[in-house]
Amino acid sequence: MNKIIVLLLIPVLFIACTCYADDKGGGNPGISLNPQDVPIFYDNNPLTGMQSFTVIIALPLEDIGIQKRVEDSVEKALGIAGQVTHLKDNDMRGFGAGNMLLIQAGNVTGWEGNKTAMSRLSLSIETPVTLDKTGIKTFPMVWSINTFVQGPIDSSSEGSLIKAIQKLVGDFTQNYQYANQGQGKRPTFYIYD
Amino acid sequence: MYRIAFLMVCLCILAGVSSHSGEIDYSNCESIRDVIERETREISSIDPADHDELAQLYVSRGESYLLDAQYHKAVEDFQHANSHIGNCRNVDAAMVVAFRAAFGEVVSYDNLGMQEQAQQALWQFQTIATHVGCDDCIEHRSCQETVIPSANKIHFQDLVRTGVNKMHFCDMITLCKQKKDQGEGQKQQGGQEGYDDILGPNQPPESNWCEEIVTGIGRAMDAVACLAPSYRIRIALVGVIEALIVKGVKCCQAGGFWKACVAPISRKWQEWKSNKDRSIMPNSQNLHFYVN
Repeated sequence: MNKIIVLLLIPVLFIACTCYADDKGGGNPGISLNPQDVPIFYDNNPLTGMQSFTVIIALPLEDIGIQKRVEDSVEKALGIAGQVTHLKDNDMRGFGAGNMLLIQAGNVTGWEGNKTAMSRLSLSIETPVTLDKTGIKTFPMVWSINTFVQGPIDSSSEGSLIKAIQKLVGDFTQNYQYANQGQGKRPTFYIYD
Repeated sequence: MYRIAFLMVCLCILAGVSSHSGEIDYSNCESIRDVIERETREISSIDPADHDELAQLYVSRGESYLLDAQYHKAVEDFQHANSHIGNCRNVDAAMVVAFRAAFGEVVSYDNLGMQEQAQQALWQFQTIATHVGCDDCIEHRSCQETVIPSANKIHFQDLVRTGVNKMHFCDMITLCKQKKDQGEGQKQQGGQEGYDDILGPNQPPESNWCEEIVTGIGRAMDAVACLAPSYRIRIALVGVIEALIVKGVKCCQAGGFWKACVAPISRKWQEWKSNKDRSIMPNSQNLHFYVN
């Protein structure tokens, strides 16, 4: 009888210790700045059914070389999840895809407008929608994810910048694939050269 | 800087539709004062009955005064321009002058701290901005064709005068649309020419294709505008984008050839992207790359 009680106690104690360790040792478990920052792992999330995206990368980088290498890294990461198609600037098929995948960066400022020592990188998906209640046609952000790097974006090291962006794109593709399980067709990512 | 940026936005929007400035010889002008002097000479040499020319010249000089921070004189000129619009023969040019004058008044009154007048001018500007433009789509052509029948010239002038005085441009446009709906606004095959630089199928593959492209390009341009370090420059650039989106979407909704509707915003997007790719970021030094 005692043996059974001990056996039952072991998992209970294990779970209790794990929770305690998370609270104490894990520190802040991660602050969600807004609901869209949380990866959405549920059915019918906004990424479900999206077949093509126009990729726009707008980073305040003066160095053309770094800009190009960042874009290459994005292309490589997206190529894992889907097909990357390059378009000329005047080819409107990309914009006809309807969905926009935006990668942006900016310095983080405090509520008083003061600059902080952080920069934010964001990946967001925007798509044209019509609001049910009002009938208004709009082009809102329906999904997004962020990460942060130390210092102004233009002084961040190329390595950390690329890794940060790869992390964003990786999280996106993971979410996209989860949201589109069982879909045989890979998405198309249009990139303007 | 804020005001100058806005003025540049205005000039950008009007690029290609303002015809008169190209006719004045500015070659010896070395400063804005020289430009004002040149335009003043031109005004005094024009036949007082030539309302089309005078409207153009007054609005041009008003903009020059604006650049020179002579806001009272600018307002006077914009009002002079408005007074000639009702008698203009060229409706398109008249509406553009009205647009420029209203915009100039907004900026002038704002600089003069005359908030009530600025607000009123802003309302007028927004009304005109909603209806001016669309210079290369079906809607615009049909407006020209239906509103300027020579037999109905007096009635037309009344319409324009009412529009300018009370800013009832909506009525004018509604009239155009009604006539177009009655069959006068047929799509013209010729309208599909001249857009070879816009790649894509001639027939929209799905409904809303035209509007989605216009708004999609607008969002892509927003991302570029957000690279501007200054909030004011961002606002100025977003002003350009919104004007192009409104123009494009109106054209799409009027049933214009989609390439014609997206051409203005697409061409501007290509310019902006080229700037970005060359690391010409949208800051105060580079603003002319974006709004010219």
